[in-house]
Amino acid sequence: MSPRSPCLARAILRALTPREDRPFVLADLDERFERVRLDGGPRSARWWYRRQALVSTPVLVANRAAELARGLRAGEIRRIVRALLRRPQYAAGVAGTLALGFASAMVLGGLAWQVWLQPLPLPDSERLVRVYELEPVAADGERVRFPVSPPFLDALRAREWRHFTGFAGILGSSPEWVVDGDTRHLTGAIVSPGFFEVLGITPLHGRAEFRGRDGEAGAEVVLTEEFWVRAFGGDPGVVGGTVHLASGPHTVVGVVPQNGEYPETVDLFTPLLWASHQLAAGFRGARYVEAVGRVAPGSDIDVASDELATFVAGLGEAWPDSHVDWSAEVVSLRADLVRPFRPALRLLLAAGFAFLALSVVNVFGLSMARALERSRESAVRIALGASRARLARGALVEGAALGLAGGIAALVLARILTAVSVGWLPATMPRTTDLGASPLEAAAWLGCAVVGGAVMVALARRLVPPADTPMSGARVSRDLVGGRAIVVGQFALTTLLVGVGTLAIERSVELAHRDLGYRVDGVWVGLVALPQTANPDSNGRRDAWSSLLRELESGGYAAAISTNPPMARTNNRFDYRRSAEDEQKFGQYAIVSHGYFDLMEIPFVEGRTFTRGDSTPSVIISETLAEEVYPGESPLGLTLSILQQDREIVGVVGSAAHFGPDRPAPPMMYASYEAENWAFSRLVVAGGDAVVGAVEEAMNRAIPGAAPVSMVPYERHVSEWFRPLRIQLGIVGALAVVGGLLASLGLYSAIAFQVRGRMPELGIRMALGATGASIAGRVVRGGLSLAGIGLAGGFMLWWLGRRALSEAMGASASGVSATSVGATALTILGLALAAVAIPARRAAEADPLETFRGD
Amino acid sequence: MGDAREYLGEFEQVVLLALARLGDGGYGAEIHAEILDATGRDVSIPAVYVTLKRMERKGLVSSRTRRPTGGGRALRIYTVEAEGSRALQRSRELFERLWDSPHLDPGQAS
Repeated sequence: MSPRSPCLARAILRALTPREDRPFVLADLDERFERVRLDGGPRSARWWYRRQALVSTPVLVANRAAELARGLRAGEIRRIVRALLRRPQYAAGVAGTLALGFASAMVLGGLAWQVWLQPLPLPDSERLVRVYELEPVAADGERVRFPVSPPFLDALRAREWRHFTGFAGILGSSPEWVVDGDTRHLTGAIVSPGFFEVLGITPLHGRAEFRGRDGEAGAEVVLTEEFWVRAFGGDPGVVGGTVHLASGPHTVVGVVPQNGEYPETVDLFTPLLWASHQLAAGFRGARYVEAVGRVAPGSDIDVASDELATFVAGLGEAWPDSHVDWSAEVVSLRADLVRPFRPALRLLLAAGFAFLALSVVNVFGLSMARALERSRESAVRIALGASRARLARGALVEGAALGLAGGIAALVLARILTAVSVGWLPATMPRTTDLGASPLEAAAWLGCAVVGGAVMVALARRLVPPADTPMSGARVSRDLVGGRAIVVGQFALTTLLVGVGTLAIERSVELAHRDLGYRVDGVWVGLVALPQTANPDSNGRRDAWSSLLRELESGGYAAAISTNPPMARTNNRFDYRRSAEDEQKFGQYAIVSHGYFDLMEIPFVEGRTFTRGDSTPSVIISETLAEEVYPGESPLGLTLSILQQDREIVGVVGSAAHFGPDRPAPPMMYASYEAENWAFSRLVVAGGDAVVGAVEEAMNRAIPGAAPVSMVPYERHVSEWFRPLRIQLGIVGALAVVGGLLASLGLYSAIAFQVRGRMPELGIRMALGATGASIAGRVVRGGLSLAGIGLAGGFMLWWLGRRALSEAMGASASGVSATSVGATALTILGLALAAVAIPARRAAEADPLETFRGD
Repeated sequence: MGDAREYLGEFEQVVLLALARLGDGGYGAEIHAEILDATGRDVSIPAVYVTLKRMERKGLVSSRTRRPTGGGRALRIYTVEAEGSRALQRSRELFERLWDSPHLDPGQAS
């Protein structure tokens, strides 16, 4: 027996060759295949056949397209469009489903691509890195990463590296521009020398480097292009001129382009030139500067990390107090910018394409129902002389028209969703300034929608043959098995999404009502940095803080300072132990002024607060710490070793949710600012909007020369804390809405298909005495049972993933609750009921006469 | 410009000439074999059919189905029509006129 030609190649050729030529072409190919086999053997014959398929495919596809174009007439297109308009439910269903699926994929896929995957718009951006200092591994296994300290950055910049070409530092700033007597608030960045060079930013005008010496640190400024155009009309003459900032006149030395991604959108750059005391050993622990670097060509991040690790180990030997056991981490700048958003982006990308796939499946289901509905009409048209090719052409045109409508709707919908999502996305999410498809991408999506619509409708028509008798119940059932499985899967997915959504709502409500252990309403907070003039030594700092608090108190404001107030994104993690033999533990350390506890309404459990002039090295601890270290006894008068220094405990205060309502209150240690003080602290003031002006006046009088303080309501910190949860809720909610719509459409198309196929049977049932209501009831029950199976499947998935959900929502959150299960079940069943209503009504209108006429 | 039917495409010429060389008409596999023997080109059989169909619409060739009488398979036999012969002749004359130049020596042309 001679070997057979390759199956796939043969199948391709069979599918693409015109029906009338097919037997001759395939037989000729077989004849030549046999000849080649006799001459060169079976292997070369198979290769020959495959090559025939490969070479012929474009010719045959082009031939098909030409045939289609030749066969189309304007009248036929008009007829197809009119037929679609007569069935608006079907047309809207297909176009709407395509629009939903394509818009989801465009928006979610586009967002993930733009934010996550696209390279930064900087030269050779994959070599740009961020550097962090990593604290020693603690007993609890946690290892927190920090920005770098000024001396650390200085050392990075001063060293000759083998695997880096340079390092630079950047800090955010809020400069004030004094123009025509008005003060305008700008967004600025303070950057170290070499910053623009490291990033590869070249100036549009002037230079992108600062040449000022230490004493002239504030005298130069580089403008960004956007600000230069906005404020100076793009006048190149500005370079060399002067801008007056609140801190004094600055010479404009250059204009640089802005990419909107990194650094974040700013108006101008000022130089970061350290004073000598900031580079002294005492500042090695002040880790607050963002460091960026560039890996040398030919090196990679891993090799460069090793070199940095060696360097940091050396620092540990030279500066054991601040660097022993510390290490450093080098991470890709692009990856680091999106790191907090990566899980959400991954989820969005997967959801976007899942919805696209579901919409395609649903369009196919709707097309099958429509094909079944038209099978008799097709039989009549064939009987009247229409060719099958003409019917196929009609299906292709119908599908393409629906695809075009759906594609255009998807573009509009995607544009709206993108515009909405830009405002809704977190301000901290980078690279969101240029979302939305380019014209080329939009054309490609539109093309996909047109081709997809045409293929699906034509395929459905091909699978449902024209017939003068209705399809058998068995055939309908068989075809429905796949459709039902998909509907069940869609409902399971939607159940999961709705479940997670209700869980997130429940969690938000619970957290919003949870007692934080301190007051946030009517309290303002701002970071105060003492200038060098007020910061000569500990006494000078204490006097400056005292003076500031006195100024505010004399104005009638309750004011206090704390270096580490709750939910202010500070993290001063200090070790403590009861005695030298005890295990080291970690808690939060804050230096506060005497009125802090009263102002924040943190209750006293026992002992006393700090008093004015109290400079003894005492400590007030939180209830959490007291219960952990001194269970069952009063800690008052006992000692606590903090950073290996014994302190007397003078009071115990209530525990505070320092890191937010979902995290357990950490052990807190409070010290008096009169015994120990830092150059940085948060100022906390109670009052209304007048606080902002009062603080400005008090700062001018008490600490002249200090940078302006930006006071914000404490509630904003809380609101910011809730933002990720709100985003999570928004994402899940939006996904649940789209998923619910697609699942409902899927159920509708499956049930509509089933009802169409069973119309003769339903007609007979009606003739035998069944009522419309009983038939509609059967259809509704059928639909609800599918949704019910999906619901059960979704609940099962939910149950299996409850632990992961619990972790995602916070340690104390439950992964499942009775309320969320109940709300989800009601939502899903409501959606299912809405989806089966139309097919049920149609089934109730089955006409026995139609059945007998058909037979 | 003359009528588009006056000009043959390169592949149309190849197929039409191969069919003409077969004399009394031929079917796809025969045309394929003839082209392979004469030129060494292993052309696509479906492409040959697509081209023959196009030329049939132009009236250059005609086809008939030969049913097997004593076994074997049905064949679609193509024959060159008078218009096809004229088109080939015109193509040949066109090329001969183009080659007829003192600057073109077929033996030396690179």
